[in-house]
Amino acid sequence: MTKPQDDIRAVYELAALTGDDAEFAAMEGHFEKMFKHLEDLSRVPVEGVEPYFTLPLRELPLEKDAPAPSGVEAAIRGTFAQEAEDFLVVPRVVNRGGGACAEGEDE
Amino acid sequence: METLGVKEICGNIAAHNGALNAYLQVVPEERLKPGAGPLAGVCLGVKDNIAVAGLQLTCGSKLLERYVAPYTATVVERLLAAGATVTGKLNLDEFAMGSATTYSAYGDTKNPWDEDRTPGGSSGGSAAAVAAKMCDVALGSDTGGSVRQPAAYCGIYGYKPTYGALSRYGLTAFASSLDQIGIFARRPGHIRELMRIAAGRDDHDATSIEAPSFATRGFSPSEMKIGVIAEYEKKMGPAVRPAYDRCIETLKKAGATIVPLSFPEYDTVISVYQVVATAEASANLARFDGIRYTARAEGCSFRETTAASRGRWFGPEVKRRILLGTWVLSRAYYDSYYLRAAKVRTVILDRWKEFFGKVDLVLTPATAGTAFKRAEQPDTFALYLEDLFTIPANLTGMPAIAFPAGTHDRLPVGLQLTADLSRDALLIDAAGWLEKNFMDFATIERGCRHDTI
Repeated sequence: MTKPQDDIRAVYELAALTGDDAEFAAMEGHFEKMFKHLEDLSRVPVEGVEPYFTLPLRELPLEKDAPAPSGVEAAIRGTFAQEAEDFLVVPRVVNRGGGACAEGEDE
Repeated sequence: METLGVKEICGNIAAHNGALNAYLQVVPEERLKPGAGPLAGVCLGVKDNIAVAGLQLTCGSKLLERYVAPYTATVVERLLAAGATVTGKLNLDEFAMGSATTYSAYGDTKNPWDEDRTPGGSSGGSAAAVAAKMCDVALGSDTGGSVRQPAAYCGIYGYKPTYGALSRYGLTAFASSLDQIGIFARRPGHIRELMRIAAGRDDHDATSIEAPSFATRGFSPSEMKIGVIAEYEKKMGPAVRPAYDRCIETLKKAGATIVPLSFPEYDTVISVYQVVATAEASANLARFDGIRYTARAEGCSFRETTAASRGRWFGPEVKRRILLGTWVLSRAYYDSYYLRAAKVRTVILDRWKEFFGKVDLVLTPATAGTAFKRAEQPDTFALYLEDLFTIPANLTGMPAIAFPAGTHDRLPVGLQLTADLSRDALLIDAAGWLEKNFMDFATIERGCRHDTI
């Protein structure tokens, strides 16, 4: 089964991922091989078979929706690039200076 | 439980971690205070996708390079309460996706028996640390064999419990219906000690179950029927076959009945796993959006920011799996791939239930061969086939243990026993019997001496 690069680009977008042309080309070969392998699945007769999704879940007690002290706040705060009194600035912007946004768009 | 002691373990970490790269974060010796309880003095290494409050939780990914866990996983919390001490966080393939610990953003882990070789994956850091005595026991996670395959490559025991026996709370989710926390040890008795304490229901994990009994009932081979799978026998390589035959001979001599079984769907397990695991991964990893937890790349909108962050910091294998998962869940492909794989999974579960109507345990290889050279790593696709023998236990939820079975060319060989759901104690009893009567870590260690070990 051939997976043209248009399909690959569409799936990248669905998966909320960016990639470049070299990556799309590499993925095309990988997925061609993968979908060929997945044809195995059609060898097993499954008429009337119920799908197995997950084990039955039991009901859990509800917890109060409130933060509880973890005791490691200091260690966590230490990982932030910027900090202001009573504020945690997370996460940091690492590659500031990338492509320019059109006027009116969020930054 | 006998332990090596903090001093020896810290000495081993100082001597070997530079070469092996098993630990990503080491807790300094002065902070390793032994607790009180049945596990007092036990040094526990933890795979870096399991949360320990105050320690890093990178999942082997650049995306989480600076993330510190704000809470502790239930399994770790229970072990700490029983006196264990966490020695540090162990290397893994990014988000536990891989079979060689070569997809970690923090460098490969090396096999202590031969540093040119892989320790297996994805819990390669955990396996290498236990084998090289850099901790007494370690936790890993097993979604398709990520505890048992590295255990086999490093000559130690690797155990995946019945699904739900160990809470997954605090384990970074990869594929929730397949993920289980597992245990690495040099003695099967250590696994029993840990499971007695860590197993059982947890109000933070709706899939956790009442702990099966881990009390030993002894293992009497003459009362046992051991299944062997004809299709798998054809797939094992020449490095593993002699150990497999010797193990069958040992069990037979002790009175066990060997029962041939047929598993005609055996070669579809990789496809079912690839579809189910990637579909679940594509949903689970959606939380890494560049807004919460992680480093952020700049974009002009929420969507652009998310896609740019994920595109920049996810490694190629994680991207491949997210993309496949997204693909098989898309409207045009759902029925022919995801739904079909879920149905074949039922067929596989029924097949294994049928096995356990006939036998008590199933013996298979854990891997087709011994650890391969890192420089000769098979291509991505061939690497997926590494999990042929281990995936059924994840698809069915059944417990399985990889155990040392000898050496080939001075490298460890591992075999695997699988039991029916909740018969974990039988599995550990069997591994204990084999340790005394067939092969153990110490025997391999003597026959396969290496500078590191």
